[in-house]
This record gives sequence, structure tokens and C-alpha cells, in this order.
Amino acid sequence: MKELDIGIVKAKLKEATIGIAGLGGLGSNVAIALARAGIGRLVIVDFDSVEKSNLSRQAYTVDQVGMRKTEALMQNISKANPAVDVTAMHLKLEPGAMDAPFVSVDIIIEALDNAETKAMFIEEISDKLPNKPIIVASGVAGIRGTERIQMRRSGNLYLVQDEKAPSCYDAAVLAPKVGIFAYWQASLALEILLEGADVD
Amino acid sequence: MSIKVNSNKVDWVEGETITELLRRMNYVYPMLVIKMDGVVIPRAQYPEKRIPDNCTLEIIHLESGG
Repeated sequence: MKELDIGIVKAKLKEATIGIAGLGGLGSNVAIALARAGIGRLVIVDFDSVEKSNLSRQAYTVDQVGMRKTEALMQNISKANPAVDVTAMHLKLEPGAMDAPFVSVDIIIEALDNAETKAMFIEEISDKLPNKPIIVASGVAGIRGTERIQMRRSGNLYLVQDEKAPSCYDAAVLAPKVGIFAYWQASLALEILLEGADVD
Repeated sequence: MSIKVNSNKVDWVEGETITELLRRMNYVYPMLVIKMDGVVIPRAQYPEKRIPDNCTLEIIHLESGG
């Protein structure tokens, strides 16, 4: 990459804000990837605390068990890249107000767990913030099927998906597969932010 | 007289609702997001929302895990 292009990338990422709904296997890894890439600001939202069982896939450490995910992830982001401005919201996204934390972000990452909550979130964001890109992931559970993972786009809705994956209630969710989804979501966010820039 | 469902050409049925189309196409996944000509249709409207001729539908199936 040319030196000039690195400068463009850094400047564009520095001025960008990404909102992340849910800080589990998807959201925590998306946040770390974007922090390392040099994103300017992250708005991270979750109501949960770190559990020992989360460590098989989520970007937390043993000493953080019991902490709020928002606080633990703030620590980890800061260790990876202290220049990121993090706004952490320890709250449960409730229907009717799911858009509130994300009104001022450039791109929204859907990183929620339950399929029904995912659907409600997508419906509400599409209705209230129709011009905001939203990057959704679905089908992160299971061991097999990595080759099935694909990206679909419909307007401002981007979907990273394994359409044939089992539910997380029927199969394990482990770091390698969910990590592919998370890093793909983060990569799409960069593509959207850098659209039109001569960076490749 | 046809509609598009996830890029596949499907016969248009006059007066058919989203719920009826899902049944006709044997959709078994419980949690979907559906865009009709680019607009997300709230789930509560599936039983009444009629599909016009030449409509483009995108049906996204969501699975738990995240």
C-alpha cells in the first residue's frame, strides 16, 4: 500500500463511529478488530456480565469473570489501542428504544444472541434509522460448514450468514467460527467507511 | 405474472399475503426478516400484507447465536 493511502485510511477510520449491539462472541471480537484497525470511536452496548463459559469464544480473560462486559471490553480495547474513544452502555435493548444508543453512529453492528431479538432489532433499526448501514450475522453455531459462510447485501442491510447452521441452543459456539463472522463484520464496516477511497 | 424471492422467480398469486407465500414455499424457519421491494415489513403485518405482481422479496432467516 502506498504511504498516501495509509494516511487516508487512518484519517477516515479515526473520524468514524461504530455502534455494537451485544458484546458476546461477535461483538467483543468486532470491537477488538476495529480498535486494532484504528477506529476513532466505539459505542458498545450490553447488559450482561462475563461468565467463565464465555471464554471459549469471547474477547475476555479469566480475571474478568464477573465483570460487566461493557467494563471488561473497555479495558481490553484500551490495552489493544488506547486511542479509541469508547462509549460503554450497560443496558438491555428494549423494543421501542433499540435505536437510541445508535442514533449518532456511522454504522451499526448487530451482534445479539437470540434470533427473535436479532429480528426485532433489524426491524426497528430499518424503520427508525433507514439510512444507517447495519451489519448482521447469523448462523455462528456449530463446528462444520465454514465454507457455507457468505455475505448478502440488500440496500443498507449487510448479512454475514451460514444459512444452514444450527441454533446455539443445539450446537456449540466456539471462537474459530464465530471469530470468522465477527472479523467479516468488522471488515465490511471498514469497506463501507472507505467506500470510494483508493486504498487497495 | 411473477415475483422474485431471494433472486428466484416464483409465480405470482393474486391477493396472496406474506404468511400464505411462506406456507406455499414451505418455509420452516421460525425467525425471519423480510424485505418487500427494499422495505423491511414488520412481522405483525405478515398475515395481512398482500404481495403485488413483480414484487421483489428478500427473506432472511435468522438463527440464534452471537
